[in-house]
Amino acid sequence: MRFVACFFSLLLLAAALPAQDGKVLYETFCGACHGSDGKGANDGQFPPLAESAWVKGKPDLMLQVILHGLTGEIRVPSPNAHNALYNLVMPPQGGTLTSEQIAKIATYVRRSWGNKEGAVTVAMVEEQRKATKARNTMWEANELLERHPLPGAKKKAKQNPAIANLLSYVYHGSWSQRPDFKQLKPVSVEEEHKGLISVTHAGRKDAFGIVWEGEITAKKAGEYKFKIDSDDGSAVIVNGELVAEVKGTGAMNRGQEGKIRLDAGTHDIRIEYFEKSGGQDIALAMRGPDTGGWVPLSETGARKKGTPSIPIVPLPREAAIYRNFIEGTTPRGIGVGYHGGVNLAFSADHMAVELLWTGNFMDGGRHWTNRGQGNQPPAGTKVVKISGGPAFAALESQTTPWPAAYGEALAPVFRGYKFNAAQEPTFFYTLGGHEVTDQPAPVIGNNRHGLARSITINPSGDGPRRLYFRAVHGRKITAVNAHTFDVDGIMTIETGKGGGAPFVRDKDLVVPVDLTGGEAAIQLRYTWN
Amino acid sequence: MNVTKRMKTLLASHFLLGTLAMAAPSMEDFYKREEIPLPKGEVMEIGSIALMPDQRVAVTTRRGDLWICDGACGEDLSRVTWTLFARGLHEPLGMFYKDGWFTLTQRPEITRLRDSDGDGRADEFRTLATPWGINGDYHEYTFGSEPDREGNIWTVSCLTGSFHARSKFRGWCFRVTPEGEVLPTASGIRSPGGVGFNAAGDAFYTDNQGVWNGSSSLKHLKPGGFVGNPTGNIFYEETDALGERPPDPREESRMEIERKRVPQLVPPAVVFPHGKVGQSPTGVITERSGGKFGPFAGQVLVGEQTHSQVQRVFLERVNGVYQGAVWHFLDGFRSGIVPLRMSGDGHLFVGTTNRGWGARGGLPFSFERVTWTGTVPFEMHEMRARPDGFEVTFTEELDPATAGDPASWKMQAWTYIYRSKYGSPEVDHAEPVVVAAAVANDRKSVRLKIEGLVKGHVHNLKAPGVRSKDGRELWHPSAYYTLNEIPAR
Repeated sequence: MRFVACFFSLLLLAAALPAQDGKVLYETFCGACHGSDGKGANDGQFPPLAESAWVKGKPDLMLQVILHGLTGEIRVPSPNAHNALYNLVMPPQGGTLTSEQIAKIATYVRRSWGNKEGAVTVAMVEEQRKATKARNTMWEANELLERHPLPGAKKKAKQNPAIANLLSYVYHGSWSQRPDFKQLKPVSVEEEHKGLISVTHAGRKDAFGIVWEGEITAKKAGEYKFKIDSDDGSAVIVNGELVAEVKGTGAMNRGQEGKIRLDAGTHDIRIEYFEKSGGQDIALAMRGPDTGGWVPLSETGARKKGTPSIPIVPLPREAAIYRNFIEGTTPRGIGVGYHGGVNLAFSADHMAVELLWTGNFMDGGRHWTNRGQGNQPPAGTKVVKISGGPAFAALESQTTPWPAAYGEALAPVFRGYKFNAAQEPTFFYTLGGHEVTDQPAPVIGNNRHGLARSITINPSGDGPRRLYFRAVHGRKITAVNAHTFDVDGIMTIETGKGGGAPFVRDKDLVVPVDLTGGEAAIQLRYTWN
Repeated sequence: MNVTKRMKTLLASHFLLGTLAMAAPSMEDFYKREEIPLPKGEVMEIGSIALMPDQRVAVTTRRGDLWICDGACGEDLSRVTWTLFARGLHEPLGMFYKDGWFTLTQRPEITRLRDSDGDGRADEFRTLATPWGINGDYHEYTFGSEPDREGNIWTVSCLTGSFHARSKFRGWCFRVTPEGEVLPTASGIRSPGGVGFNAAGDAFYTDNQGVWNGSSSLKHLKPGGFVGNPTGNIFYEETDALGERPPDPREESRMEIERKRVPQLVPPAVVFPHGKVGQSPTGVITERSGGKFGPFAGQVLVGEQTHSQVQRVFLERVNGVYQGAVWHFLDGFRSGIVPLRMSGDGHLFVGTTNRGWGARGGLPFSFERVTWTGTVPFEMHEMRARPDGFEVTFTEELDPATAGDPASWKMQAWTYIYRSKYGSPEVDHAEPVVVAAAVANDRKSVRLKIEGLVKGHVHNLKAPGVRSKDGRELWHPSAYYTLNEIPAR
């Protein structure tokens, strides 16, 4: 009998081998990112496979991801990910791994870490290969999920939105208390098919209000709780009854909760919101006897995990530099944040200060997590784009169109920068061999911040000696006097001595630069209104 | 065979396995790996390492900081101190220090920087050259080398998104002279992980499995050469430096076949079979400790990001073409290795990160060092192609009974499809046969006579049965030799 038992255990061992094989293959080819425990390596920085909707149901979806790879944003419904957003690249494996290897890996994944899905056969992999034989690019989620929806996704789509028949009414005005919106006239009305309220659709960031109206469904009669938080004030009104209110102005974290008894069926909901100035946001959630916890009724709160915030903060006597992809300037962008709330972005492609803004400098969250894809906008406020394209040009006359790029004669070469004791950079570059320095300096005022700029051009090269400098490009410019100009009502620019008489043409403020007599200097001061 | 007899055989073989397992060599016997404490609260995803005078070591981070570490070569690593030297750099992936200046290969440019006023922080940032374009795509990495014998930096630029050539000179290698002169040097790069030199001073870089790369490999940057991915060859229109644009390789072909059609095509010197020898090779250095790091002086060490390892490479030149063997070497690092540097006194430094690309080890980043314990591992040392087989040298004297028995040796060979699809399975399998194994008089090498060598194939030599004079088994009994050329003599 003992021998028989032993023989059986050998058989069992043999039967267990393919699964073991799948584990070894998984650990070799997949484990570094998805984790040995299937939860996604590095605290879930990578998508989990454990109890992931992408693994559940028919294996076609996961096989397509393995075969052809996946790029761009995806959401992963899994208790290990909380529907988190990922933006990575899954490299295609179909060209490398055999169908047998893929079948073993997929089977292992579908039977591990709480997954209880059916095995994947070589034939299933072959079938998926055949179905997408001509494909030679990676999948993007939208395209793939249209063909192979996540299990339950269809059902979800048919489900009623959180708030049915949702309309948003936008109002313009500045209030310190919630106004009587019924006495006001909305500037626009929109249908909100997602059924979630959001302040991002207002089209402006200060001095506005929004009223949303729609219907919520109570499946069971009982007590329903509502919690609301907002920046600035808000109120939630159900069946005409005020349930909870965030009074006055102020930032988030002033949340209020209220309750109301509802019969089974649909009920009118109305949310009133106003934003005076500064930040803006609203979060609303509902909880009832049938909801199984809080149900978000706003986009804020429905987002469980996004890009973390990593503020980059200039210190006293230590300006901050951020060299990365900054929205609004070119890829060779250099952000400079000065202590006190003045910031700029210099383009080392265009050799120009292109962006000015106040308040917070930059957030590293986008570029310092995951692969760091995309451009990051300035973190502060009053962002003004003052330049784009070449900042200098040699023109036939004052009416010659501005060139789209530096030509041969003014070929630009970036030379770098040097810090002063406060780590504030002076930029160096050459244009057509002429040596140029651009020294920005923050002007921290009590109410009005600004930036002073001192540019010197040394005619050391063979390039043209009569140039024009574009101090501002692409804005509405109004001359206040010969050396003072208003930019879009946002900013005032003063030109100092040196350089020729500035003039406005089209949407540009242009300063003539004459190098025939030697070095020239341009003094500028930009001040936010 | 009845059941009782089977059990006896099983028991006997188990017993044998048990005795051998006791002698199984492991890394701790030969090399000591230590984590170097990092500055508290800082995210130190390391992208490059530079050796400095006075045994200081500098590192750059992917976030753009440059830190200087004092004490990384010391006995007591708890006494290490760190000094911040610069912030606000753009993802440097190459660095060296010379005469008071750091030279960095940053994403947009090559930059020299220094502290000119003596306050300990960099204040002068001089752009030396901007040979390649960038468009904001995160994958447009550029790695840079230390200076070559003429003082030139070698750079290798990844394709846009690792697939396209949407910015100038993606997929090209440049040399940049100390004066900032830019010399276009080679084309055909896909997605590099590091660049360095072998003992002869020739430049090599690692390229990762993907389009036109059936598997990852170590490639020779031969000036004027095309290393295999034709995507960036549109830039032959922008320069005459490399002559005529090479004809594009044909789809679903083999490197061995296309080499005959495309004269500029330089085959990978050493293929790292995908999955078997890592998945993402990175930094390239030569072991220059002159014996302080063990018996492998002059060989090339290559980092591995996904599997958190260091591989060992022997290179030789046959008919003017580089080729050679790769072995597993060091293992167990805490995150994915990107840069490597070795100090003259035999400290191997590695910097790691797993952000965006997963890695074994469990930490998001680390800075580690490896030193030799003084015990020589029993390993294959060098592996040379011969007209009818291979010659393999060893670090220790051999047991002639096992090493001289052809049955102790096994060989398999395969290659990869050369194509625009992502990666390739192993194809065209062959089973070359070891017909004779002759141990040299000094018992430090074996001449293997092999029938069925396949030009162009990876030849996997396994020697699990070979023992040293004192009965030790090989630490790493498997070698992968890429046979681009078979010598005539």
